[in-house]
Amino acid sequence: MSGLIPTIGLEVHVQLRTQSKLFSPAPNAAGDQPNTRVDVVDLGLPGTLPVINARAIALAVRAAIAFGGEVQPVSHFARKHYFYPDLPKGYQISQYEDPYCRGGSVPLGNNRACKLTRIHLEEDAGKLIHTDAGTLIDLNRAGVPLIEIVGEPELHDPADAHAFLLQLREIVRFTGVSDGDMELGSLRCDANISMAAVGAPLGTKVEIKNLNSLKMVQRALEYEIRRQTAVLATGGLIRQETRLWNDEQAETRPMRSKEMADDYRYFPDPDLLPLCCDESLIANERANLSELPAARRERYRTTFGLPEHDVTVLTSERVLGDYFESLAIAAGEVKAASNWVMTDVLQAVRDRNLALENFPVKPAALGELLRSIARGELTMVSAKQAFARMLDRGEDAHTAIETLGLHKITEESVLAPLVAAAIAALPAATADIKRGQMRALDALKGHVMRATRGRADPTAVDRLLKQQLGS
Amino acid sequence: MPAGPFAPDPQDLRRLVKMARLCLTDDQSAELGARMAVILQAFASLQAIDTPATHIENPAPGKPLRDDICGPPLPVSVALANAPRTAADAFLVPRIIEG
Amino acid sequence: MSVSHQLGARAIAARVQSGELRASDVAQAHLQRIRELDPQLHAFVELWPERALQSAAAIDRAQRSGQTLGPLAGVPVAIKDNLLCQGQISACGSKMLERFVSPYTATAVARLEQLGAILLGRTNMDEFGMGSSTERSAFGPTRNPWQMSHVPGGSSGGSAAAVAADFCPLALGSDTGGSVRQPAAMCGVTGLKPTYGRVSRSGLVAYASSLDCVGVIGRAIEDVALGLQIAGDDERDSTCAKRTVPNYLQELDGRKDLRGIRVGIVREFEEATGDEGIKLAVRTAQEQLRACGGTIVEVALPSVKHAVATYYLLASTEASSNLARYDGVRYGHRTAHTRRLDELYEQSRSEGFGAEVQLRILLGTFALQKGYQDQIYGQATRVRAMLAADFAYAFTQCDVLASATSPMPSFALGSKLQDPIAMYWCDALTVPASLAGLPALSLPCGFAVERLPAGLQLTAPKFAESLLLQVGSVFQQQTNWHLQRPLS
Repeated sequence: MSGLIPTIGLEVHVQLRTQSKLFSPAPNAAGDQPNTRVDVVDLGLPGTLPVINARAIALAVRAAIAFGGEVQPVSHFARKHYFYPDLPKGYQISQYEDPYCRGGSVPLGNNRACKLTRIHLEEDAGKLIHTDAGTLIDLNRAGVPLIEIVGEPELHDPADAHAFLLQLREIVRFTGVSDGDMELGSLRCDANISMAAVGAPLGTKVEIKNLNSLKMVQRALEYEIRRQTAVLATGGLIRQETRLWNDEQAETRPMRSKEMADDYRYFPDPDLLPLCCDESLIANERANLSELPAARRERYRTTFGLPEHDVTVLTSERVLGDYFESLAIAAGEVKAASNWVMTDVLQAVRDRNLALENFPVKPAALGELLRSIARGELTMVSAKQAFARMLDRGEDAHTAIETLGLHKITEESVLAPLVAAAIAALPAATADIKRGQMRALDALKGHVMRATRGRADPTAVDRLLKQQLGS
Repeated sequence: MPAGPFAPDPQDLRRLVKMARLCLTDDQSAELGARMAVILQAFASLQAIDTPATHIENPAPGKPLRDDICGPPLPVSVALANAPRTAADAFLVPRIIEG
Repeated sequence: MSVSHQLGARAIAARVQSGELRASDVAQAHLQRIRELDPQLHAFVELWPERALQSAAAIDRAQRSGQTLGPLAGVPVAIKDNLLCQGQISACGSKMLERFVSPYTATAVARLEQLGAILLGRTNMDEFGMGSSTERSAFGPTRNPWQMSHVPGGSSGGSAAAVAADFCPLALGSDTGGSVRQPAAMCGVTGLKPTYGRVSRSGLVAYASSLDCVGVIGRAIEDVALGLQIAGDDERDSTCAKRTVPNYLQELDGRKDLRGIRVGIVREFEEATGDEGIKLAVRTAQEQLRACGGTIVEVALPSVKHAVATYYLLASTEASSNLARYDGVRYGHRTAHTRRLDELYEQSRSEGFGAEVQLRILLGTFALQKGYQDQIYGQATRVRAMLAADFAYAFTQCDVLASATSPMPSFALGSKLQDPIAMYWCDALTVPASLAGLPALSLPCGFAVERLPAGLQLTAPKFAESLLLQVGSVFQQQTNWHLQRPLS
């Protein structure tokens, strides 16, 4: 049965990064205690009505532009009916015949791309927790805004599916549309796969769910290709079904529960007016979008001449790159700015659990510090001390340097007695140096540095040591 | 309009009842089925009307959108106050077997 | 102090504002009358005496401290059982919601309270609004104060009967296909269904979302005008119109006759009015409108003959969707049979819903099925658009339409329960305005036979409530039907 090729289509649900839910003012935030982030609308109480969150529409439009889709001037919300305990109203508000975006594509690298059928808006469902006592329902997630990005079935390799998701995730993160975290469920993927001989019509489609990481998507598709190929090789038939990926067992299994009805009885939601995305909204989001990660990477390589590692790190998140660019301008030095962002800034963000958006040290302030280093006014050790204080107190570089008295000591009249004191204090090291073990110089230098709290100009100390030791 | 769809047979009716998550005895089913058939027959004339292809929208002035501002969520006790069964601050239903 | 239960809302508010009457006495007097007479009538499903007396006491305190009181200060009102009120049960006439205590208040109800009204309790209705006689309430039928053996109409039969029986001068109802106008006509009171979107639907339990309107029932037009002050934009309902709300009572004073007003008589409505007594009462009323200076013109609404079918298919479709949320999980009736999830759903719903509700859910499910969706639901939507276009054309030839509200007077309890189609045709003259989203007013205009009132329906273009109320006011200045009382 060789000669069979797989055809893969991906459907990706992306949670939008809004403050509140799609149709209610309850907070859109993950985690927390069950049913603590619900409003009367999310409970589907009698008499409640959905009211559309403008920010969700803006982010959805931004995503549409980022993927090159065609934003529809008028689209409609429809009710999709099925009974399941995670769906409070007995229907999900989604878009059916008239999605807000048609077309578009996701880049796969090497100038290839996968076309998109459509992107539509919908509300997320709640979460079920299965216990021995029964199934518990937590509606915190119910009503969280989602876009569903529907790819054309035109991928033929699990590696391409992986690339599709990687690129998609990068774009939604970079544009601020979503956290795009598969493990936390803010980005979720279902895959369709069928097998057919080259040139033959498409085979029977199998849907795979429960794909919670990029790796799982690829592994599940690889498994499913092997399974379907084996079934077909023995003359069997592929059943049209939904299968769940089980990562521990590394296999897919048919879904047992009849969760989904076969007839969703869609009709336009009479509680909502048609959704109008006008030119000004589109223009506004186009402006918010600026450049996409691929373009930015290219610019960092060619315009800034940064090494590949720096390019990868700095373009991983839009705010990080934005910070770096502002810093590079303020500091007047690209590589130094990159080094500081990749090490000290990111370290502080991690250690102090900060968001880069409200990082206490603004690029202008850090730029001033970097200029002081470049001018030779500050040792690296002093600069780090100043940076720590700027982080703690939000001071500018000048104030931090002045308050801590961090100016580099270059005057020989000040340094010479300290060097002499170091020689006197460390006779063993001095003896080693005289025997030619020049590494012991570091101990003497360290002594001087400690005495000056890192402010001594290393070059001057070096010179004086050599002078006084007569070497 | 063909007569067929306007007289749901017992099998159709069972499917509709299932789809609507109702539970009817055979007698109830027969009675509701008969009433449905009468109503649908009376309404069959609708199908013969030549309607224009497009239907009118009711465009509303202004944008029916709200700003992305959070309101206070309900206290859990209020959210669950009307629930027939709860456990661990959640709504409770019979165990569902998935997967 | 003795309080006349015949005082209107405007008169009560004026006297409470001036200190001549205490809101507490007004509330007490009305509660007393309800306790005496409602056991036979069953207009109320539940009285809220404590809440009412507390609100009344607060109004009295505000009055004594010299605060400005609202235009409905101290006016006792009843609200239909499908309008939510925080801390109170709203059962919607259904076993499904028998014990449902709402954590929030409907916008219409909240505004009524802001205007100073005192909520007396909730009134009976056909389950989820699905009925035209209030016989389909899970809590037993309401009787017509004019004729105890007869129905009050429906689905807001409790509210209409309460106003007719002088239990309160004002009540809120809801009108999806005539549920305010038809019972108002059958009980001889004044009922207004505003333009779709004029009053917020937030907190009104949905039956058919594209048709549901909160409506006002009173004895006199000026009270209805006062009650309509609950109208206006609401951030919790995006289908609610973002338009300013006029002072409806003030606008009433603007017109003393009907000179310059073209009154349209709809040929198809005349043909559909079968009852001779109703026909005669309505013709006389139309003649009076002419006598007041109005010009009578004949207009046609050719699509109106399809209105009943269109209405029932659309309303059932939306109902099948709106009622999907009642599953016994988060609130509402839950069966004792809960071994499996399917069983929980199916048993809870069939135990909780009455037969008519289940019938309409099935009809709606049928209409939305794959393969039939466009043929049934889609076609009904298109016919609805044709009907709206008919009305739009008619309003190029006239300013208001005048017809009967109900083609027949009230009927004996139980007489139409077994014949769904006969019951549906009660709504033939009210569903057209509902489908077109137009405001329509029902005014008492005499009797079909002795003690069975007839209603005159006036219909106007969207948001022309002021015009409707003005025409109604001129009519009531010339007639005394609205002053007649069924009970002493």
